[in-house]
Amino acid sequence: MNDRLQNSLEERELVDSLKKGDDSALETIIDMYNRKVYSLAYNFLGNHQDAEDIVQMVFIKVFQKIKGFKGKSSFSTWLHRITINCCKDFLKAKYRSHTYYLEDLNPDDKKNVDNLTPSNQPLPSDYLQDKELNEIINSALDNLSLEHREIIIMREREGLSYEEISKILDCNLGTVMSRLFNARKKLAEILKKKIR
Amino acid sequence: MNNKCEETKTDLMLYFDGELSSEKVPDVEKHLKECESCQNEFKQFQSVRNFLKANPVPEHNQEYWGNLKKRIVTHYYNAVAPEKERKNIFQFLFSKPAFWVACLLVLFLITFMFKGKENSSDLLVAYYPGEKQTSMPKLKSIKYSEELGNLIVMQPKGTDTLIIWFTKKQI
Repeated sequence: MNDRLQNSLEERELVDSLKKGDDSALETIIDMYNRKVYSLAYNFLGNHQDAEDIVQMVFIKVFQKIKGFKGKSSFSTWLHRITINCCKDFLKAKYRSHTYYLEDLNPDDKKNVDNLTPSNQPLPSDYLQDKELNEIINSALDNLSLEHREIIIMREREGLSYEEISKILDCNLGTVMSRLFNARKKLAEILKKKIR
Repeated sequence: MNNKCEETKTDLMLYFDGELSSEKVPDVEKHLKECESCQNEFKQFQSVRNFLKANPVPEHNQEYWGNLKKRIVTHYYNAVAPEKERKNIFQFLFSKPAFWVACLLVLFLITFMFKGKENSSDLLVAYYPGEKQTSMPKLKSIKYSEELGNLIVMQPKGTDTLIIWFTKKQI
């Protein structure tokens, strides 16, 4: 039996146990997926505090909705979908209360962005401190629509395949590719403006 | 950008993401070498990738991971699960239409019984000052009121009852 099938069977058993209210299954699921959920939330939101809140929110939702999980997709895909939706809801609420753009960066940040160079040059991290770089990445992502942001994060930060993304977003591969293409172009434009 | 570029666009994306089938790779690489426009696009995508990957997710402290499971489970059982129980009670009520029909029937019967009593007591109510009733009854809305010698006749709104108030004790 290959590893993938083995994992799939284990996952199904866990989900069945969780549906029956087995506490140990609940803890096992947290152990298995907490870092994945955290990583996705951090990449989406850009800071520990918000990512922590999302992790808690996601697992609570999983426990609440597990009985409605029909198994049409894998549990992992379902979990990704819940995480993405929680992050998007969180950002929508945040945008409603406060919006900031790349132009709002302080002059020091702009100076650092001006140092950025194309791919054949050293990586941005060579010029910037992690915190500054993180702020710039978040600002650039904030300028994307949520649709573009989610696909960029899933592909570029999480390294998910086209197929995985299409399952999570419940759309076909063509849509994934065109959306990803447009998101990259848009992000490249935003960064280019700052490089000049 | 020519027609060949348009044709190669999808394959270029797949190639960039490592999802292109191996037999198509030589064609895309050949086109990339020849086409400056596609080269620039490719470099642009590469820049975006480098930029985004330059700052990986920082490792969170061990204390957070150590307490995470306990925190989520505690929060779930202390706050979320009891709330769910409460919701379940309401769901139970709403999922039992017979219960609500019975409630409505009981309400209807009670209303009918009281209405019947009111109709049957369509009579004059007299209040005597001095003994039990010491002051005139206060009525919020009076449909009709008239003073006739030593008595006042009143009819409260929405009733068929007449109230007669004797201003002097009758012998």
